[in-house]
Amino acid sequence: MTATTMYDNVLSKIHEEQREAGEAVFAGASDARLADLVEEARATFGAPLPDDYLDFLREADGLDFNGLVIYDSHSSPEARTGHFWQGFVAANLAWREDAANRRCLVFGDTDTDLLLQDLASGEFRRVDRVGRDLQEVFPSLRAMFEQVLAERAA
Amino acid sequence: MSAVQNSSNPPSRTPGSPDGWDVVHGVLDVAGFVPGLGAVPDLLNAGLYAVRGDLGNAALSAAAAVPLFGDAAKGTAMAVKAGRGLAADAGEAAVKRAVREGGDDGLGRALGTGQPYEALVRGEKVTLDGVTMRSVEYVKRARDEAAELRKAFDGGGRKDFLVSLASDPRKAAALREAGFSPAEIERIASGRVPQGWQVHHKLPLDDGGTNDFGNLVLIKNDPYHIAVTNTQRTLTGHLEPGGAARVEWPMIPGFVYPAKPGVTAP
Repeated sequence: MTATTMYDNVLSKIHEEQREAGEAVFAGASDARLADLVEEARATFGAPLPDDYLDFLREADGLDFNGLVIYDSHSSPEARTGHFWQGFVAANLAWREDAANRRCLVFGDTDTDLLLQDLASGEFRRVDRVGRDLQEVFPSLRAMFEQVLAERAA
Repeated sequence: MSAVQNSSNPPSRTPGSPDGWDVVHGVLDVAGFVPGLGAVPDLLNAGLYAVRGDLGNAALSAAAAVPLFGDAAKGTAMAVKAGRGLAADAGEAAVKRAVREGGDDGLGRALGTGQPYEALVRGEKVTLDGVTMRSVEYVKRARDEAAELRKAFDGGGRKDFLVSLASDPRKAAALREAGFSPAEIERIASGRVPQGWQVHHKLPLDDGGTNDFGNLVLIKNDPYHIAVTNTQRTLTGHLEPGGAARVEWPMIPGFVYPAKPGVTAP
């Protein structure tokens, strides 16, 4: 299965529902945009971005669906995409107000969880957004995204 | 960055604020802590809740009539010493009191007299209108209990809460006042969270909170939910299961926050 088709089914279903409901749906990011994001993330957080995250953004540059948010490549309070303004860098800067979040990259969040990579171990984890208790470890960011997308679309 | 303030003169009753019954229940809650009155106010409260069909709060008030729970609600360490299980139950009784919509936290503070809530968002100080700090005896519950509650929330609790908002004419009107479009309210009625918002547990499942609708609020995600989460994490991140601490907790009022549109985010 290619990187594209792994997300295709569930994303197509979600996007179709969102369009029917009049919600914003975001097209994939360009390679140039992603290159800028990689550079900005490295400069700001000193860490590389996982390929799985960039693959997702190539399909949908951000997602805000049923309480699940996957951050986009560029939104910020100063430069919003419609009413969606949780860009990866801006969101991580906000999370890093809490010192515990300075040791990870957060790719998205839900009502109850943070979807992150622990920078020390490299693990992709779903943790409670308040207590930060570990809920689940995934073999890849792609696996984590696929699971939370499916849960939210159910 | 400007402070997030909705400082226009608030109406006498804002969406999501307590109605007359809530005030009555709140008064009885407080009376339950007055020495000499014993269990009478709590039992009266339980009866009123039962008559109104709110069996969850009826059970809670009845439980609060039990002396040990009363002690816990007053934030004593006695309940913690009584054992981890009892501590968790007692703590939950205490925090449930705190999250009844608009009610007193049952810990000796008058309604709405907590300190204004301020948080850092992207390095800037933000004040969230209507959010006050309440003193809460915070008890971190056992992990298996928390997992069960999370499962129940994801398995239908969140959806049921959203449906309840849209199906209640008073609350639907409050959603319109909060700026939701008809399409967004239809989305909420279908049990889906509208874009830009999330469902927040006023007291987290990770600790003493529950999926009771009174503990849930539809909250604008960025910056409000992020700000509140960071504060809560800072206050309780050090606790282990069974651990307890008295904390000043940011309490989000009502069932939708912010309750008015036009609040300028930082």
